[in-house]
Amino acid sequence: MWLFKNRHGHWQQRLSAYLDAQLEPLERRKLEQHLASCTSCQEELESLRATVALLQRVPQVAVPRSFRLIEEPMPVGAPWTVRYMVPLRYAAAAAGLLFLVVAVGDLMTSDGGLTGPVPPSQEQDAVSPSPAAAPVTEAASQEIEAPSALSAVPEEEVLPEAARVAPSKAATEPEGDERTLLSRTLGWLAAALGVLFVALAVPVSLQWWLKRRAPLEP
Amino acid sequence: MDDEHQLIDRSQHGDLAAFNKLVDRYQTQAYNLALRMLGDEALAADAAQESFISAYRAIKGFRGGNFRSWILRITANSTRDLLRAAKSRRALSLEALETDSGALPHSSEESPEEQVLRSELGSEIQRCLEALHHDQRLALVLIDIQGFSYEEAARITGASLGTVKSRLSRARHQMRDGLRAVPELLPDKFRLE
Ligand SMILES: [Zn+2]
Repeated sequence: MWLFKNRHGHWQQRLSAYLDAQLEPLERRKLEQHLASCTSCQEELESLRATVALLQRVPQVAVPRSFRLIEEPMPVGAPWTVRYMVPLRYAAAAAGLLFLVVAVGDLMTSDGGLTGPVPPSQEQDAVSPSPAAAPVTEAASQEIEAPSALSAVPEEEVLPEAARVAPSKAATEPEGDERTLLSRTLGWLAAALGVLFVALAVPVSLQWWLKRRAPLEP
Repeated sequence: MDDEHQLIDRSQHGDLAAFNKLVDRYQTQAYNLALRMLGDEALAADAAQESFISAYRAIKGFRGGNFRSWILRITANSTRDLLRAAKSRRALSLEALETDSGALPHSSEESPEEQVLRSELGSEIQRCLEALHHDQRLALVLIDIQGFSYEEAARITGASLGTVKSRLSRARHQMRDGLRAVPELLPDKFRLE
């Protein structure tokens, strides 16, 4: 009995392929032999045939609208960019603020010794991370992500405050030396140039980085 | 199709108009595939649109072969992703999928016979389709409803010919069993038992 049932199962698994003439010739002939003497498998075959006939009559429907693309889809990186844009703005603002605090702090804590060599090296520190590190790491690219307008915000907000603090502290210090004053001015100028350079480098490297990402496949 | 080769080549060089001609050519098949897989017109439209966007982004990587299979493979993947997302988010209750999606949508030029099929029997067919496992449903929709060959179904699904055969066989048996539950809607051949 079990053997009998199993044999039907064996053939019934092949009925679908048989309907589409997908059986090997030998197997097809064996199945046809079995069908000739088995009403159960014959019925099974006919019900499958009817099922397929029914499915073939399911109509194709017209599209509800055109699926043409109206414009170039955003590059694959775009959703990522958009998703992280807000946190990145804060990160960039924080980085800008930190830079200013460090720069100002450095200027104010170091006395007369702050002459020529230091501000340029500072400028180098400020500049090197963005263009060079841009394509290398995700972390670096996050820094670059922020648009210039936004990284300019903390600069504008902080500078007046820093400017207010700096003279008052300077006034308490017994230094009227013209050489120190000059070096201090130069230091400020260098810091401002550094900030300006970062602000300019950010959009340029961002654009460059996005261009590099765009051709990548999903 | 030489013409198609040109359209693909131009699309690969960023020609959106050329790509849109390919969209015109395959959007009906893509939409219908998504519709039978998802059973919901709005979701199917999303899947079709999403698949053409993905296809445009990825077209530079298309290295010849059958373009229709390539497009429909992207569509099939979109429907899978949409279903998965919908299920995990529970944004779509299963109930909504089962009831709203029931009736087969209106076809522009259908015969009276097709209208009948679209109504009650159409809903039954769609209900039975949605009860199938995704891969089995895909094989059955491609071959029995959309009329593709086993070979093309294998290309679209990325499965072997043997796998397609056995998925289709299981799907047909299950469809047959499901439809037997509503004998009053069926042609005589179903009323065997
Ligand atoms: Zn038998």
